[in-house]
Amino acid sequence: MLSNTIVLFFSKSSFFVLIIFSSFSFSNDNINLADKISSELRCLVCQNQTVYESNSEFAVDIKKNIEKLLGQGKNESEVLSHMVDRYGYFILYNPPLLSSTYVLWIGPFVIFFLFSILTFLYIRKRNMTLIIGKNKEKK
Amino acid sequence: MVKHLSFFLIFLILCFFLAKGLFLDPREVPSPLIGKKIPSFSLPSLITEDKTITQDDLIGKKILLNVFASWCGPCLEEHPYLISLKKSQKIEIFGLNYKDYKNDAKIWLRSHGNPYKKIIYDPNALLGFDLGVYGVPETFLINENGIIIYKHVGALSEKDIIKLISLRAHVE
Repeated sequence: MLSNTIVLFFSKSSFFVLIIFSSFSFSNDNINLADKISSELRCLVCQNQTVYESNSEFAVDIKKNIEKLLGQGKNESEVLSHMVDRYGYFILYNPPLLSSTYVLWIGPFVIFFLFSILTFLYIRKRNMTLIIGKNKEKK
Repeated sequence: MVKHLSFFLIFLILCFFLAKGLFLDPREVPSPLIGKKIPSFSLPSLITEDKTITQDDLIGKKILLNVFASWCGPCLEEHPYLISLKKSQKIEIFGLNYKDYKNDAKIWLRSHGNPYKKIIYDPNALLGFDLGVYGVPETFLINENGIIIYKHVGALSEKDIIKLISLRAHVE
């Protein structure tokens, strides 16, 4: 029964770990800054892709604008706020932690926690029933 | 009994939200420019090629700024409604010709009619970028002070136009 809970816990947590690490694609400082920025922006035409990944005309235009802004001497956060000023927070591929996105970030953990408790209680109840059953047999 | 009832209640609540969701467009991106003044720009006019249009040309009256292109299908769908709107003289419509070829745009307007008071020629999406345009067609409602009141993404239906021109032209 404990092994069941452990299996459940690991399958859920590895799922989360996978999701969290899939969003870190650039850790090397030598990577082109324009590419790093475009990988943090969402393509608004192909909305599940980053601007870096997308070949849509919109993405091509955004990439040109990134180069233009970097050429003007802007740094990474300035370029990103330039984009957010025009397109809103949705253009950031990773949603920022704001009051409106709180539920999005915390939600899965809350649900996981809730279901862990429910699962634990259920397994415990089943164990109690088994023990009571066994005790009845003995008599 | 209570357990069954509470599960059913949760089910109903879920149904309510899912049904509501069916009427939402997940691809629509809200604009952060609502309540802000239109960006400054200086671009050539499509029709009168030696003239330049700036943001000052858009300020003074409540207007619609319609982003369109000759290669855009939905733009053609909404175009007759813009022509009727122009004929009704209820509001002036300015055009933003987005990422288009000048001649293609002119031919398109000649075939389908020209409802625009002035047309900004923006082949490189310079103004488009500053307005947060990510597709065509898009239509902005701009008040007499040059403040963006509303942005409509996608083709306008007759109902959309009625709703748009009756919107209050002031943001708190």
